[in-house]
Amino acid sequence: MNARDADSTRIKTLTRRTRQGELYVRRPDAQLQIEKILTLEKAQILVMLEGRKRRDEADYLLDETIVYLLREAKTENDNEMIETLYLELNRRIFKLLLKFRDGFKNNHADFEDFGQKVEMAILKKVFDIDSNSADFAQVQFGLFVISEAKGIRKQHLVRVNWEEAMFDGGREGEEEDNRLENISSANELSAESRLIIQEGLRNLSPEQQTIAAMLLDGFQIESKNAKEPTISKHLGVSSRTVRNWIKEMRRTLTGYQGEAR
Amino acid sequence: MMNETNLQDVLEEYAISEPTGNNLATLQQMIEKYPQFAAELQDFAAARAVIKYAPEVELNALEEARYQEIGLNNLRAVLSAKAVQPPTSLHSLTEAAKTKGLNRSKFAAALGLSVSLVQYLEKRRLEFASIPQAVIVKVAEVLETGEELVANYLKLPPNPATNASFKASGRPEEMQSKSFDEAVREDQTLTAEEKRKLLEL
Repeated sequence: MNARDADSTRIKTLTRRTRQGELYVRRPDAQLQIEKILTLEKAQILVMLEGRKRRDEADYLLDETIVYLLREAKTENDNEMIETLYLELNRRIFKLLLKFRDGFKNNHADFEDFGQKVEMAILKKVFDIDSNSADFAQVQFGLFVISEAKGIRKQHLVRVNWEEAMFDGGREGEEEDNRLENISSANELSAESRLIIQEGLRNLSPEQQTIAAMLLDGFQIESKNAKEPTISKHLGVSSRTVRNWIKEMRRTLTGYQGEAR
Repeated sequence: MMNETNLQDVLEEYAISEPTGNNLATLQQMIEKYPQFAAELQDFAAARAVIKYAPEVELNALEEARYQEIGLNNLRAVLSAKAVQPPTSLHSLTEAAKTKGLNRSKFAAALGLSVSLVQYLEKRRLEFASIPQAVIVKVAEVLETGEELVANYLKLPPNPATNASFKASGRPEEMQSKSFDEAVREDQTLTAEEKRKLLEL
């Protein structure tokens, strides 16, 4: 990755195809970043990897870019580059997997074992430079990680820790300042409710965050259509239980007040 | 057993078809299309919601060190394994399939072929020019390898049938080289519809 010739600065296209026969395509931001990175020297790339950059910082390397560079470094047998790039990717993989730690009921050993297996599956694909098995990783790395995780964990990734989630379902008749009442009484979130949840997400427990994330993403609490994916079906509880959790979430969020309230 | 699909392909198909985020209508269609993966698809979509909305998790120093150690161990294991066995050519299609968790019949199903046709490919008893490109592409896709590697394997001289190790009800017959179409027509295990589709490739 030092002296750049014309070949090494040309981005390699993806070769995997959808079932409809269309080639996979990288996101424009990833494509642009890889094109730019390929014009840099190795030392410049290593500088970009120093420190802990936030996603919104200008020279933050996208996951998909790191995957691309890792495969390039593997082709060139550049072990220094491989290790530097991989340690950064490794950190991001674990940060992502930690969002599902709740399903392991605080069993750290089980979680680490799971993380190790997921990582190994990812590594094998990313370093299989003769195949296109890592093309998906260059398109949507987060979802690639989740699909590998699903291949390893037969149980649900998204579940709640029941002992922690024993929310108090009482105070049903209570009249509260109820900006989130639509959540529990209807299947759609109002714009205001959405905003309240998004702003206060960090203040929720991990169990509540799981439910909030599904609500924000459009999942219904329940549905008359038995085939429709719903929160209650996925978590294996009644819709009444989910509503009770949401009431508890509402109490947490209204207590939080929010930056603007 | 024709056209068997694996979980990762199905999840990938859903993710690629909805690149910007979950679409519950598409998810439902996928669940109806692949009912055997209904729970996995729903969990994948729920996980997608969680990674999109749940706040970033910050690692503490202890976690950072521990996960780094796991990562380095994995990295070394993978790099040393690769150093011993560089993948430059295919020595056997069915052996390569085994490394992907596919036995002979699952491999055949994934390719949309019969076990007998897979055996013809494995033994290189099909005239290379007669093998449809779509078959080569599919083999490469299932084995997650390059089409060129598959084509190079199939171009080599026929393999002797002496190492046939699969269980057969009768005495294994010496396979003569023939065209792909001929092998399809003679296949006793394919239905008329399956033969028609293969002959159209």
